[in-house]
Amino acid sequence: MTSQVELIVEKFLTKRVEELGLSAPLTPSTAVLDAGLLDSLALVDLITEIEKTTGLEADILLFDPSEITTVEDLIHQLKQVFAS
Amino acid sequence: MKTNAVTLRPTTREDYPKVQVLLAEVGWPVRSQEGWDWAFENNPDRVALECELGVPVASGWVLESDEGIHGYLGNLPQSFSIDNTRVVGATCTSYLVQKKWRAHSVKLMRAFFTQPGVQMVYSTTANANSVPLYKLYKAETLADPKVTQSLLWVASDRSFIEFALRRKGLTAFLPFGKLLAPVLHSLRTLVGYASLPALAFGGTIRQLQASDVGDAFDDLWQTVKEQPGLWLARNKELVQWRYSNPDTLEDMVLLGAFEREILVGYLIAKADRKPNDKVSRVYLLDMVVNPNASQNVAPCLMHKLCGWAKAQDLPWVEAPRFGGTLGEQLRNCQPHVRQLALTSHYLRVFDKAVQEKLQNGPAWPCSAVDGDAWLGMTDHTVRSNRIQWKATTSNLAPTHIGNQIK
Repeated sequence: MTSQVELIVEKFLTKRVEELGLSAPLTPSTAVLDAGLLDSLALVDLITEIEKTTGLEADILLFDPSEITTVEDLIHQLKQVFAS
Repeated sequence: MKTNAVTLRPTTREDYPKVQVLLAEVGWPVRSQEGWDWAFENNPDRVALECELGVPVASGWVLESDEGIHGYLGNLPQSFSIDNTRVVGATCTSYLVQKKWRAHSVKLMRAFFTQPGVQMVYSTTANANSVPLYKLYKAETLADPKVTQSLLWVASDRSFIEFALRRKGLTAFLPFGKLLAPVLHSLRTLVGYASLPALAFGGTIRQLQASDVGDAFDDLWQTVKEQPGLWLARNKELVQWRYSNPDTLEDMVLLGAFEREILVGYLIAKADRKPNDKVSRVYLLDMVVNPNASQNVAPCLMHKLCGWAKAQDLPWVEAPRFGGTLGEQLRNCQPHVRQLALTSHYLRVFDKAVQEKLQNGPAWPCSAVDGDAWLGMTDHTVRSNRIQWKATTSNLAPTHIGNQIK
C-alpha cells in the first residue's frame, strides 16, 4: 500500500510541476514547500486524492509539515500518516 | 538535517509588534501592547491550563524566517461546561500567512490542533481559504447553517438614513435625515422590521461598570451552566477579564437585568465605529439570561441597548445568532436577518466523553458561538472578511481564519 502512496504523490507532483510551469525535473530531493510546489491547499488535495484512491483515512495529526523539505520527506510523512 | 527556511515557534510577547505589522498588511485591527497582553498573556483560561499542565501553553504561533515573521495564528484556550463538567477548548484567531509563504501555513494549523491539554478545538470564523484546512484536520462543521446569520435592529432612523447617505456620497442631503426618519420608521413597521418593543419584565435594567462584576455573576453562572448544552464559562473572574479589553473598554457597555435586585441577565456590547462610516453599529458581544427568568428579559436588555446605540448616534444594533430559548426570544423581536456568507464554524472534539455528550445533547448551543464573540473579535471578523474577500479577488489573499471568540 505504501508504494501506492508513493505513486500517487509522484503523479500528483508531476502534474503540479506541469501546471506551475516549473523547469526543474521532479526528483526525491526537490524542495516541495519552499519551491512553491505544494501549498497548503494542494496538500489538502493530495491527501484527499490518496484517501479516495486507497480507501484509507489519514491520521492527519501524525503529519508534521515541519519535517518536510523535499519530496522524499513528504512521502515519508504521508506513509506514516496512512500506515496508521 | 532539515534546512527549512521557515520555522514554526510559539509566539512570545516580543513578537506582538511584528505580528501587528503583519496583520496590518490586510487591514486587521490594531491592538496596543496592553491589548495583546490582555487577550493572550492574561487570558485566565490559558494561565489556569498552564498551571494544570505544568508546561507553557502557547498564546499562538508564528512562522518565521531570517526575513521576519510571515505567518501567525493566535491561540485562545477557553473553559466550557457541559453537564456541570469542565471542558477545556481552544479557539484560534487572526490566522494569517503571507502569500509567498502560504505553503507553510499548515504548520500553524497543526500546532493548533495538536496542542496539549485541550479536549476540543474550534473556530467560529472559518472562511473559504481556511475551510479545506479544517476539513483536513477532521473538524466538523456546524449542522445549522443559520449560524452564519446575524440579527439587526435599527436603533436610530435618522442615523441610519445619514449613514446610508454618507455611504452613497450624498452628504448634501444629510440635513434631510431628520425629516425622512419617520418615513423610514413607518416603512420598517410595514415590512415587519419594527423597533424592539418596550416590554416589561417586572425588574430593572441598569448600566454597570467593570467594578460591578461581582458575586452575582458567579450566582448567575451557576444557574446557567446547569442547563443542557456546552456553555462557555462565565464566572465572575472570566467576565471581569472579558470586560477589561484596554483597547475597546471605552466603547463597551455592560447592561444588567435585575429582578428584586437579583441579577437575572446581562449583555455586553461594543460601539463599533470605523473611519468613513464603513461600519458603524453596536455589536452584541455576549448575552446571558437566567433560564428561569421572564422571557421578556432578553428583549428588554436589547431594547435598552438600542437606546444606548441611539444615544451614541449609531444606526443599528447587531447580534450574532444565539441558539436555544434566548435565540427564540430575540428572533421574536422582529430583527432584520443578515447573511454572513463567508464565515462558518468548525469543531473537532478529541475527548470521547465530550463527543458523546455533544452527540446526545444540543449539538452546538449558543455558548460556543458566544465564545468567539467574547474577546470582541467577532466584530472585527466581519470587517476582516470583507477585506479578505477583496484581497482574494485581487490575488493577494493570505490564508487566514479571521476570527474570533473569538
